[in-house]
Amino acid sequence: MNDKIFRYFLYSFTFILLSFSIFPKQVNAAQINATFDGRAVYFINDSPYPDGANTGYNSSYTQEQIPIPDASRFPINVTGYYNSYGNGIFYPIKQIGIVNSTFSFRGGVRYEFRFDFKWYYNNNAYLNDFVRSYVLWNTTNDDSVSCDSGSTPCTVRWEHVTSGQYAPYYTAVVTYVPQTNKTGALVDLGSVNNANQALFINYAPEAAHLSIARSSITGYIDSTSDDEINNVQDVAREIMENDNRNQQQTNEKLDQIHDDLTDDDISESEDSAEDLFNDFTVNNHGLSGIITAPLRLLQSLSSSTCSPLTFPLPFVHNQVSLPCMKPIYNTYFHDFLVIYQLITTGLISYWVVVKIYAHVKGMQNPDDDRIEVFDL
Amino acid sequence: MIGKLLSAIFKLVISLINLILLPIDTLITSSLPDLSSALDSFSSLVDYVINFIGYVVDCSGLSANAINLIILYFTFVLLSRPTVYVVKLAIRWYKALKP
Repeated sequence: MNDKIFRYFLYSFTFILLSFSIFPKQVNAAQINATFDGRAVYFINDSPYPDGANTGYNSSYTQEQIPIPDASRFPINVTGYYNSYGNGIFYPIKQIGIVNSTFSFRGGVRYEFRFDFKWYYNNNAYLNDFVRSYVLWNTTNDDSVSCDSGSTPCTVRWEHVTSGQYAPYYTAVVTYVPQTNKTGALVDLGSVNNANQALFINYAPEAAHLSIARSSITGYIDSTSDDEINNVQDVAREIMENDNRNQQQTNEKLDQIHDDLTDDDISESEDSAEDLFNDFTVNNHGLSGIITAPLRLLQSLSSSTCSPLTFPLPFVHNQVSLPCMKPIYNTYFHDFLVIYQLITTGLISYWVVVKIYAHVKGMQNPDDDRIEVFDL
Repeated sequence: MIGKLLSAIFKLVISLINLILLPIDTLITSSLPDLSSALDSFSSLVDYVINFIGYVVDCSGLSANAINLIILYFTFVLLSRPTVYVVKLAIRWYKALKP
């Protein structure tokens, strides 16, 4: 039983330790990473690269859902549409649109959306290139803008990365700056059936499969104002202190668990062992009182403490108090008491050993008819 | 350490005996009140004697080790036979039940 309990605690402790290494700490949407090289990063919401993700392209479908890595952490859904486009273009076009997303923006902050598009090649690859790239950034509220490369308040540029772990990939970087006086603006980045999709990418699907390998939103406060920077600093400090506090609490809990597991002090267990039976009900009446009388006598021997005896004297109205003798013996007859205790303890030890031996021998006696003999 | 262990054993055994004899005690209390009061008077005598045990032990001047040895002996005497009986009973049951 003790072995099972020890193993349970050992496995639990090991799992807790491993979980901090296996399950990475999630990026908080409000995490602030302050870098003061003339601009302050307001927040980062970043989804990681997937592990060999693929879209599973099928030309027979007119609509294809493109998976976003870790979509739950990224507020924008992306759906790709296969659109048969006949005029002047003899191969199908695929369009990627950002649909049904709302995101709260703050005026004056420059938001940068990055979409890394990963291209997977067929064996007989055609030209793996954009047939046409057209990017429309469409927002539907007071800040509705549509922009193309070079337009304001949003701009789009393309980056083609040819090296790195997941290269080659194309990155669409869309920059959007809401109006300064707008705070908490909700932006609807396109809709499912809206021809004006938020982001268009046209490409030759026979050549490659497309997936969005990575997506991120970063907000920048491009300001040289000390107030802006101080504000971001304060918020960053508060978030870091919260994280430190949480980490500290976690560390304290882990230390407590470790101390409990490695604590080999059993001094409290002795009292606990006796206290365990404190609430047992004891009935000293009737038959059980007689049967348990010897046990109660023995129990009183082990736990008895001396208290002065007082009793009234007959024929006189007076109380007699007999004090405890041991302090008196210690005070006046200390040496004699030591010798006396030594002798009596020796005699009692001898008597106990002899009696125990006789008792065990008596149990082996086949003529003993008290209880079955000691015959194993 | 041993003293606390013995105290725990005493409490356990007394409680178990109380539990086992509870129906009989209840029966005696309800059906034979005179017998019940006679048995109670014996228990009261034991409780009364217990009040003086502390003083007597202190008066005798015996050391704590000697007291513990006496307790150990009487505990052994009281528990050894029932313990052996229970062990033998368990062995008999095991032999009867094993395939």
